[in-house]
Formats: sequence, C-alpha cells, structure tokens
Amino acid sequence: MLKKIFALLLLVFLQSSWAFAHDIFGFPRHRGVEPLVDKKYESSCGECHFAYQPGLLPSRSWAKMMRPEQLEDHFGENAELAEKERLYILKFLTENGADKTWHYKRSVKINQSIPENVTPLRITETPYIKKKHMEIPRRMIQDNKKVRGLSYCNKCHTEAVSKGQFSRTNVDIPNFRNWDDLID
Amino acid sequence: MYKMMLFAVMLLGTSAVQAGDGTVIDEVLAGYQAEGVGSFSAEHGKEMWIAKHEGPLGLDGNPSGEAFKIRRDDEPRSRSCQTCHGTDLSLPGKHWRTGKLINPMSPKAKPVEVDEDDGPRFSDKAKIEKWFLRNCKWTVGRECTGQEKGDLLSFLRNQ
Repeated sequence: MLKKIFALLLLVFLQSSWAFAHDIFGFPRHRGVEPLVDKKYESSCGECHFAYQPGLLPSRSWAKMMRPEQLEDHFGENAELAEKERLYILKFLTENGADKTWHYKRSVKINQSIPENVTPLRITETPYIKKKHMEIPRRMIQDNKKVRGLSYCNKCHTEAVSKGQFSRTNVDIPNFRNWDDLID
Repeated sequence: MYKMMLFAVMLLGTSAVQAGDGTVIDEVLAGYQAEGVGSFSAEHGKEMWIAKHEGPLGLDGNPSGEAFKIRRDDEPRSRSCQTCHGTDLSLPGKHWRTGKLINPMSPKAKPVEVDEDDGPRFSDKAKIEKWFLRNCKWTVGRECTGQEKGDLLSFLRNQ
C-alpha cells in the first residue's frame, strides 16, 4: 500500500517537473499557435476575414501592418480604423506576436524562418508557411473555388479558428476530401 | 412628480427599442445637420448608390484617387456600392475579393450572417462611420461629405 502511494507521488512529481522543465527551458509545448480571442479584434478585423491569431506573424510585422497608411491600403482594400481602435489592436497584436512565445510550436517555427532584416506583411510569404504548402497543387488551393488562396486558412484548417491548430490531421480541403492520398 | 416619473419611463422605453427602429439614423443625420448640412435627398442617395466610379485603371489610364494606388489583375474595372452589396438590397452581398457574405443593406431584411454582438442594420453609430470611411475611399476614392452620407442613409433606411 505504502509502495503504491509512493509510486503515485513519484509519478505526480515527475509529471509536474516535466511540465516545469518545459517552461524553464522554453521548449514549445503546444502544437499550434495561441488561440487568442479578443472581441475588439474580432469586430475590427474579423468582420472581413478570419481573425488571424497574433502568433502567426512576428510583432514587427503587425506593427508595420497597423500603421495608418498601411491600413488605408490593406492589400488593396481600405481597412482604416478609428485611432482608439487602431492603437488597441496594435497593442494586442504586437504583445502577442510570434516572437513573443516559446510555447507554441507554429509561432516559433514561423518566427525562426524569417530573416531578421525582413518584415513580411503576408503570413503566406513567411518561409515556413511557404515551405509547408509547397507541395499542394494549385487545383486544390488557388484554382479551387471553395478555397481560392492560401490566405483563407480556415477553409481547410478546420480547427484554425477555434483552437489555433494547424496540424495535418485537422486538414479538410473542400472538393478534395482525399487530399492525403493525392499528395505524398 | 408623477409627470416626471412618466417622462423617465418614456425615456427608458425609447432607448430600449432603439436598435433597428431608425433612431440611430436620426441621430447620425442630426449630427451632419449640426455640421451645417441642410436637408437630405434619398433620390440623390439612390443615384450615388448605383453610380459607377473608375477603378485604378480608368479609361484614360490615370488613377482617380488616393485609394487607387495598387491595381491587381482581378480587380473590378469600375467600382460602385453594388460591386459588393449587389443590386437587390434585400439580399446579402458578397465581397468581391474575399467572397465573404455581407448582410443585406435593407433594415427590413433578415441578416444571413448572425453575429451575437451584431445588432440590426444601422443600429451602431461607430459602425456606420467606420464603413462609410472605408467604403467611400475604396469606391469613390475619397471620403464622403456629410451631405452624401446623409443622402445615402436616407435612401437606404426605406429599402
């Protein structure tokens, strides 16, 4: 009986110290990006597109994107915000950028793939995301009317919005249910 | 005292039914008038709604405004409110680039995309101004004047 209790205690200790070690040494512990939700971010940006989690781009990218003149020409669209809202969202995005975490694997990978002197504005142009989608043929994404482009993450990544998960197992490409058999 | 209480109840009553009954539009219009606009014309609002504006590559090859800096191959040649909102105001529109559905502009129409934070059409002053700013710059290439915004609202509220 005593042995059992001891073993149980040891197990609990090992498990907690394992998690602790992860925190201390900064190993990424989660597979996706942090699934941050913010009401103002949702209403200001999510009205037009999937509210990309801040962990998908480094803070310097968000800072550039949120400049007034950038918002005026936001990939060809006008996305201007009232100054109060702009500053709020700028803060939310830059405080939670991909370079600010060690615990979310995708953020770390995205951030590490970008050269220091580059400030990408498009998530789809970061080397890691590019590499990850390289093998997917055009007919499944760009020429697929139900997807239309890499920027529509949530069309295929079914858990992108709710959980910030982008693993292969959660991918469902519209019109190509069997995509996994078609790509090596 | 009794009269005052009655008045207070009436006030409460009006604010409770504010959303969707046009009081927000009235407030916005009053705001434009306070800035010096006289009366509004729904007729002119309708003309503006269907008017086509040159896209970034106009017929003469010149960009016609600050908002038209970049041109993409898939961009519509001319722009109007209807590019995204469609021709039938009781039906949802569709954003030309993202394909995202836009709730019908008619205050009487039923919204298709229901967001729990979203009230009915024209029930949020800040949202009205946010979209006037963005959409006037995209469509016309400049901000709309109080007169123009008032005319558009006067037209849209009765659709």
